[in-house]
Formats: sequence, structure tokens, C-alpha cells
Amino acid sequence: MNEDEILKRSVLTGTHLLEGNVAMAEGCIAAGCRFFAGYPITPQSEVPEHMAKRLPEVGGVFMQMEDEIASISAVVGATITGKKAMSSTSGPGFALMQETLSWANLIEMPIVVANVQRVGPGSGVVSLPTHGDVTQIKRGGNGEYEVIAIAPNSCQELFDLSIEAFNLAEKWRVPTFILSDAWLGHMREKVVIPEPEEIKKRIVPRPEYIPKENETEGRPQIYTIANKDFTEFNIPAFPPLGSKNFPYWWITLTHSQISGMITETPSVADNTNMTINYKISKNEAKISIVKRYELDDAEIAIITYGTPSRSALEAMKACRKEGIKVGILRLVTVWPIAETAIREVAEKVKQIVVPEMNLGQIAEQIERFAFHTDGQRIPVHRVSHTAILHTPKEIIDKIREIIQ
Amino acid sequence: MSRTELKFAGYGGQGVITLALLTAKAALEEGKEVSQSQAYTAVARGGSVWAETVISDKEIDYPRAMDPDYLILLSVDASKNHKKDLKKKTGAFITDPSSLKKFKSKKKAHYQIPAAQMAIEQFKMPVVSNVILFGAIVEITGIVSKESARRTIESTVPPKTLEINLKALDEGFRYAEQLKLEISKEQAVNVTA
Repeated sequence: MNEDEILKRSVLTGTHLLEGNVAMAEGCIAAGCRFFAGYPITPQSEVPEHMAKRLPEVGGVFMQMEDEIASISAVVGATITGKKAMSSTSGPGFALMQETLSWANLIEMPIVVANVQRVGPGSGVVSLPTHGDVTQIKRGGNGEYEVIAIAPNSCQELFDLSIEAFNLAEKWRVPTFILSDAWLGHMREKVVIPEPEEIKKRIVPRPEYIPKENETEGRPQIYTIANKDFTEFNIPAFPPLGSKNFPYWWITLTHSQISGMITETPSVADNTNMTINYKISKNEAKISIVKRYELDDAEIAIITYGTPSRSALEAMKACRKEGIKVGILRLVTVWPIAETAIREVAEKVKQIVVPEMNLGQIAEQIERFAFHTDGQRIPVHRVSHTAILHTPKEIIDKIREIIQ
Repeated sequence: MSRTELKFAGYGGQGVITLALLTAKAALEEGKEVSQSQAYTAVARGGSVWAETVISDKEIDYPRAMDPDYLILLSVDASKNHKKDLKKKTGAFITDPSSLKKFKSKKKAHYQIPAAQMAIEQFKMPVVSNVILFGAIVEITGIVSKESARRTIESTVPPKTLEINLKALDEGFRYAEQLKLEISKEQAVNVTA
């Protein structure tokens, strides 16, 4: 198969009725994913099922592994060989991946993992939705790291934002997560897939390693180097695997960002940690994707993400009909937290409402930024529960209650 | 028609989700926006199942049924658990007396389609009861044209069974059409009386 043929096969142009999990798998394939390793778990088993069928059609490889830690390790291995690779799981499986995920963060690996969340803790309820893993996504592993996480709210977005997830992973060289949930994964909606040429324009390819340009002190630069007190980041492409000119290795111990070698020097280890964290958190305004609705004159802002943002849209329209000035800031990317956008909104509104399918994991973050310019704290009201998708009514009720 | 909500309930194995899926596919045939969702228990066959299809000309914000226009009930348990979900005055029940014998609605429209019985007696194929029901739903709700419903069946069922499925669909249309006629006659009698 030549490249054109593969591209054509990887993009199912047309209008389809797709299940969320399948739309996501198709988005990942369109994005250039050519390796998938996974293990079945409800409510995401349709993802590996679909990948097993589709990847061989586009010259890709599907592997069912013995568990989730093996799956994510296989994904890291495939990425080292130059492939765009991913895994998909649900909360309990995601917990099993943490050891390798922590390492993947240390070595700045551009991988994508989808978490179709189900109610926890423990084995939880297999078919009920939640956003209970939002914190686990970046705080589940040992050590400290910042990730990118994207939260689609429709089957169309599961397709489109999966492409975006792969792009963000490549652009920032960081594990990137797709936050879906049991409800969204099993929902079926209209999905419009454009022509292959159109998709090709959207894809960020794996950057090519250019020997002379990507060298530091005569050695290949493998990791990001921070300059100017962690305000500028030189993110290198991957060196090709098995190069005779410069042997290099991926190690699980902390390395020097410059030499790539194991370090036990406190200042060097500290630099590594600061670099991989600040690379993402200090570029929050560049990375974050947000959507704003009717915020210009809003007195109350709903800040939300994922499936509940659709309940919020319905609630906002109902409130506007009653003359209540409500707007929405939707966090399309949940991590890194969109500090700039949240502060901007908080400065203008009187109150904030946060509907979340967990008990306030992002509301806690929003509280850090909920101030007017004069320093006055503004109230952040939670509409929090697990296992149930918010109804527009409960959001409307909350808004009516707080304007009393 | 800006937004129509259908809710289906029954037990696993009756094809509740298939029915919701058929209505969703038919709406897509006409270029409409559609959200189809479902809940299922870990029990594959015999467990309680419900599904929803929301169809709209405009983009669908909230993807679930908030206030169903039609409630399709296929079992006694489904009736017990979901009858109350139909609150709208203009809402209508569609039931299959083959699996839900005693069902009465005093204030709302009620269409009884003995699809499972028709499938066995007329087609000797219990599996087509869904398609009969789908035809009846299309006729009663008018959510899509009969032509779109036909195209949906054509693109869904295996080619070998297409002919019998299209016949079953027509039978669904026919039965519901006649039922509507009878109901409107009854109403006319009630008004004159």
C-alpha cells in the first residue's frame, strides 16, 4: 500500500451514525495512529474491538495484551520505533497503567491514552458514567508531572478531538489523554468525516530528527531543554531508533535533560522535574482549548467540561429566556488547567457554577482563580454528583437558588 | 418539528436498543440531528433495558430525553418502571400487547401494536417483530418518511432477509394506519355523543 492508499483507507469520509467509542477509534486512526495495545474493559471494549478490525486495513498493528500495564508498555515501545500509538481503558485499567505512564511522562513520550470513565472507586459500576478519574489522569502515578487531557462532549467531537489529542501529544511531546465516559462512549450520534485531504491538513506529523540542529554539546538532544528561567522550551524531535552515529537509551531513572544520562545530582534532577512540569503548565495559555458562550454580559458563568457541558448549554438557553444572564466557559482541555481563561471569566462575573460528574475535582482548581481584580473572592457553586449525567433542570435550579 | 424524544423500554433480547437504533438511523437518512443513548445492566438477556432517541432539526444540546413525546413499552417491568416518564399532555404510549397485556392510559393516547404476535403468525419469524414495530412507530410519529424507513431497513438487515423485513415494515405501516383510523373514528363518536 502506498501512502495515498493508506490515507484514503484511514479516513471514512461521509456521514455516519457512530457509537462514541467507535467515533473515537476512527478519529485516532485518521490522526495517524498505527499501533494499539489494550485489554478489554467495560465501557470501552468497543475501542479495541474496532481497532482490531480497522488497524490491519491501514497497515497498522493491533495487540491484545495480558493486562493494562503490558498494554501501555507496548504502546511506549511502539512509539520509540516511530509509530503513533495509543491505548484505551477505563478507570480500573488506567490505575494499572500508572507505573509506565509515570515513566512515559519522565521521558516526554508522545502517546495517547483514552479513559472511558466508569463509576469507581474499586471495580465500581461498569456501565455508569463519571469524571472521577480527572485527578488520576495526572496525579495517579509516582512523582510529579503535567499532562494534557481533552474532554469531548459529543460523538463528532470524539472524532475531531481525538485528532487534536494526537496533535497535542506530538507538538508538546507529552502523554495526552482523551477523557470520555460510559455515557458518551455508548451514545450514538451523527458524525461527519471530511475528505482525506482535509484530514491530512489537520494532522501534525511526528517531527523529523535533524542531526546537526538537534544536538547539544555534540550529543543528540533527546529531551526538552528549558531556557530563560523556564520560560522558553526547546522541545526536540525523537532521535531515530538504532542510529549508528549516536547510541542513546531510554531509562526509567531520572536523567539529565542535557546529557540524557542517569543523574543523582540534586540540582540536575530538580531541573528535569521543573522542565517536564513547566513545559506544560507555563504554556497553559498556548495549549488550552476553551469554548465561550454568551459570556460578554454574563453575571453567572457555568464552567464545565465533557458530557455535562451539553446539559449546561440547555440550561443556559433556558436561563437566558427567563432573563438570567448566564454564560458558559467550556474547558475543552481539562489539563493543563486553563488558568488564563478562567481568571478572565472570573474577573467579570458575580458567581460561578461548576457542574461536574465527580465531587468537585475541577471546582477545586477553579476556586484557586475565582477572584475579581480587587482581590475579592467570588463564590464557586458545585453541582456535583457521580454516576448520573446532569439534567439541565438541576443546573437551572442551582442558578435560581444562588440568585435569590 | 424541532425536537422529538422517543423512549423505549423492555427486557434484554427484545431488541429495545435495535429499535432505538433504527429510529436514529432513519432520522440520519433525512439529514436530521440525532442522539441515541441507552442504559443496560450487566445481564445480557432478560435484564431490564431502556433506550432513547432524540431527533431534531437543530443541533442537540442535552442528548437525553427530558420530556418524551413517545414512550414505547414492551414488558410489564418496563411499564412499572417507566410509565411515569411520559408527562407531556400530548405524549403517546406505544405498547405491544403480546408482552404487555394489561396496560391502560386514561388521559393519553395509546397505540397497541401486537408486533410479536404478528411476527409469529404472519411471518413465522419472531425476529421481525422489531421491524413491524419500527414501521408502526414511523407511521404513528411521522418522525421520518416511509421511504427513509425503507432505506434504513435496506442498509441494516442482511441481504438474504431484506424481502421479508420490507414486508414486515409495510405490515407495521398498514397496521398503524388502520389503528389511527379506528382511533380517530372512536374520537369522532365520542365527540358527537
